[in-house]
Amino acid sequence: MGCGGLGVAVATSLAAQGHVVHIIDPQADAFEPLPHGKIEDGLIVPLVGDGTLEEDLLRASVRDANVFLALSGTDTVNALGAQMAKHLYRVPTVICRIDDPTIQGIYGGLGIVAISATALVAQMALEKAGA
Amino acid sequence: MHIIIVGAGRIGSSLARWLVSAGHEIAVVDRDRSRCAALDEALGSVTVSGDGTDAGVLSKAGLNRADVLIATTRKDDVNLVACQLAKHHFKVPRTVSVVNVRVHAELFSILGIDLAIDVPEIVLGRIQEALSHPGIVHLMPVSGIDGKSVVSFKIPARFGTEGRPMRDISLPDGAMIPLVITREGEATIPSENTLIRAGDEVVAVTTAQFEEDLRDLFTEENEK
Repeated sequence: MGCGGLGVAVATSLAAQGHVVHIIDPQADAFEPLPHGKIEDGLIVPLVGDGTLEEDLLRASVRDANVFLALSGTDTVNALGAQMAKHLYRVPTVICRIDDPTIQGIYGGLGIVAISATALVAQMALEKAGA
Repeated sequence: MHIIIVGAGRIGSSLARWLVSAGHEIAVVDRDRSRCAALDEALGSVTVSGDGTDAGVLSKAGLNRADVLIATTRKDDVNLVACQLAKHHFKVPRTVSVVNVRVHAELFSILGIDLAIDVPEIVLGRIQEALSHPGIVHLMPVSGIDGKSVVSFKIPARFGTEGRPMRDISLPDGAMIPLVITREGEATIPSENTLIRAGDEVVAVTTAQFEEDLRDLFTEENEK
């Protein structure tokens, strides 16, 4: 869910490993950076839609998914989509991008793996800098 | 009670007005400064402008010492996170949310939001009811009594402006009429001499079984 920079990178990498990735974004032009070969092979399936709406999630075969990744740029949208995937459609592994540290703090206790893009990038930058 | 409302739209602002008039201490959080200003002008200084999912903003609104948080925005994602922050971070005892998409109401309940008010479901239900039972409006179920509910009827024209006394109206056994609201808007507890006139509104307690009989009694012949 979410075909921004992060969504494109994750989808491309997963497809390269042979996984099938359905990717939902409300903007059709968000799919342009996706590797066209993987779309033609059926490994990446782009869907214009809203990842917090049942009909769009079902179109993305959410009930058959092993992993749900909520990677849009909006914390609240990710939180809603991720919790729908976990509680309504029983996706076994749910990973949710939450950049606000306070909001991220509450989801650790709620069975959602919450990751912060800013925190990860900051951590990597510090590691590369040898700090 | 101390109540925090997230969202100063139509639902949030009318809720705020009602809660203030009922003597509660409130704060309203909305990102839109002009909405906040309008509400502050009407109710005194009650708003905090900012994001209702930002812990700093919620803290400024006094969520630490609130008894209830009510999320009223049109965005369910914002409503959910506001409620979850209130419940899990600020330890607010009760969380209530308006829900704008049907399937989200189920999720909110699973996640322990105390009350998820499914707006489309309510609107749909009222329309279906109005279309399937002309003249009868379901006000609320009576808890604890099997299948009873409070309903209201508009008295049809055939009762005339003089009306008919209560004693001449033979109610089904299971039903009673505790309240009559006249065309003039006056509420009375009817005695057997009270005249029921065209245009009056009758509030009745009934079971589903006798609803049919009540409808026959109180609705227009041609609506059946």
